[in-house]
Amino acid sequence: MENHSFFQFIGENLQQFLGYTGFANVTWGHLAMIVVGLFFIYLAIAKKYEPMLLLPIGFGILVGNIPFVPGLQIGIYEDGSVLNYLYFGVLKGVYPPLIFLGIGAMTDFSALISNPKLMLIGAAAQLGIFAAYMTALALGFTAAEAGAIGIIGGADGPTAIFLSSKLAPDLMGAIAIAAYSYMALVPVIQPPIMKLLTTKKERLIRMKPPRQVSQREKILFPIIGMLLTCFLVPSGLPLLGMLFFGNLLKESGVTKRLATTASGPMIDIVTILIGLTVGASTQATTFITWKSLGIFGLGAASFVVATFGGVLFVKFFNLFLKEGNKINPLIGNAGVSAVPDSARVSQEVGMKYDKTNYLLMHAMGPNVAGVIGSAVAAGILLGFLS
Amino acid sequence: MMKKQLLILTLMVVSAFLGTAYAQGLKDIRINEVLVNNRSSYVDDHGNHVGWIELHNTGYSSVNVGGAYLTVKRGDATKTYRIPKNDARTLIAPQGYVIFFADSTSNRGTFHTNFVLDETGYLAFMDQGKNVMDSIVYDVQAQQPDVSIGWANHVDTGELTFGPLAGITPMQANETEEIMPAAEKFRLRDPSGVVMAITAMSVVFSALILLYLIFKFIGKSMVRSSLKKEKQAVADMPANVQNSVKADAQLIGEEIAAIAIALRQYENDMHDIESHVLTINRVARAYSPWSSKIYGLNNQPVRK
Repeated sequence: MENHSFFQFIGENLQQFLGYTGFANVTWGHLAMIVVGLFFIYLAIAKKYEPMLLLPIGFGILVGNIPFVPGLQIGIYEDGSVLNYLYFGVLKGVYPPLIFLGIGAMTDFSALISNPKLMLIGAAAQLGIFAAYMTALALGFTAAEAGAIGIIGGADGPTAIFLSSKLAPDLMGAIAIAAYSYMALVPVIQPPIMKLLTTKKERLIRMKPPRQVSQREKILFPIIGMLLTCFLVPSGLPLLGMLFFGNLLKESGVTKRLATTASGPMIDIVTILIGLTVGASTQATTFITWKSLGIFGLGAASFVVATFGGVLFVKFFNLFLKEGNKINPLIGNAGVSAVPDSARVSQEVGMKYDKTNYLLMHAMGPNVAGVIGSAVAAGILLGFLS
Repeated sequence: MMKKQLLILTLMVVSAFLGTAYAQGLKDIRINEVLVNNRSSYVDDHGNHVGWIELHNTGYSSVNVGGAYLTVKRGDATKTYRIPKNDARTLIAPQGYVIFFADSTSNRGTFHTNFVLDETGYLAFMDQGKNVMDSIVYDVQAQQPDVSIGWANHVDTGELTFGPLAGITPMQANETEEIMPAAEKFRLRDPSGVVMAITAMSVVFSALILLYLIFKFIGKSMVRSSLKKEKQAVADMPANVQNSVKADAQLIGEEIAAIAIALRQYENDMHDIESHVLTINRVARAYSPWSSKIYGLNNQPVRK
């Protein structure tokens, strides 16, 4: 009799334990998300598409989609769990400005300073943000959601996370993943559009080599840039302030250690945290929705429109420029700020038509201007919609 | 040295001035909620239902209201209550609250005033110099039992307005009706998003056009000054050096870049140690004293 109750006790315990395992709680949604996570890891390792981001996000998706019984303080959305504490930096928009600090500390604005008219391309390419905003409104998203979705067109992961955490936190996972995925797919999305919109003659335009920029100019740029843009759009302060501060650390020449830390270990740590937690936030229950599908569609459209905007603006701008000062429209795509991928696309497409025409340095101008432009656009959306 | 001291002194005076100018202190205190006709709600520390005043510190530093005044009739000492100074409880924490009971019995403690609220329809909070920091006017007859008045966001506009509140909330933020989010209000006025697109693109362009103009101007002045310096430096050189400098100046940027790259490559080839990688190359040289037959042990001794 005693033996019977002993084995019954063990059996009940095992049954209870099995009830807590992932196998007992798994749904098709979890499995689908795990497949998505594995696909991201594959893209990062095998295809080397944005591995720094897609690998942590991919693994984060696996972490976030392990099925469990709620209440054990382990899930990212459960108060008091470790993941929840790490997710705090995403929810409250702490990580993106820190990443911007690192980006500032590693960005060389020389190309932009030597040819400041390239800044305007960075502004034109923000068209994708507002095209996506209008389409999202037409599809029935709320205004705040539409603003958060639109920023995918800015092609800037940290900016997209920052804005969506403020305007539509429940869509942040989908928005971040869409933004980073399309950034990785820039070499696939942009070249056909660039070829479609340009003539062979335009693709062969040679631009003047950039002049040498003095250190004084490099120091003045982040100071004036910060004051000007933040006075105009104070809501962009967290991103723009940190971006320009990081750049001043780099260019001042007296804070090399700080610049090295900001552009090295610090941005690496924050990238790990942001990638993992954004990935983990895509739990099947919150991620597999029609809205997410809409976000992916709108994100792709916004990238396309942004590229159109940048290239067509250069063609329009060229109408007013003298022969010899004209801009090669193949650098128009670089206004979408996916640094430095879109600039690299300009270089590669340009090289196909003229092996001696190096567009990379010229394309870096609109590329970094795009970072400033998308941060300003995010500030405007935040100002109007929050 | 004197200049430096003067500068530091000026900075200190300016910062002290600015500090005074922007120190909020009692200006941060707001009459947040008032219940004139208390029948059955919040009770005082003696168990009585009396009218009460809630002060709220809207700032981000603690403010001591000790020594300040509450009055329902300015200039009338019998209707003006001086808040005692030496009570730690009069220190209001940032974003904190404190309640005063208007029961005309100030001998009951720090938080009991010498006036009641249903006489004048006026209430003011004054600093030590009796300057009004905040005041409200209300209709005594219109006060409903257990309905407080205070600051709350207007249902339609979202603006902060003073009036009857949805519920009584002593020592807490005032209850507000659910208001329409700013984003949706914006959408009502701009359903298609065109206005947003035009406005935002204009702002983005303005910001970058301004930056463009500033750096175009800075760039030009920098180029001008560097050319001037260059000319001056060349002029100071001896004639033969000047000629070689002029010859060098005819090199175009790409040639300079090519030379720089060639030099860099040459320097890199000079050593075979890369970062964290030690490359061991096979020594191509055939002759070495170590393998030389001349020094080999199996050489026969040579008789001289």
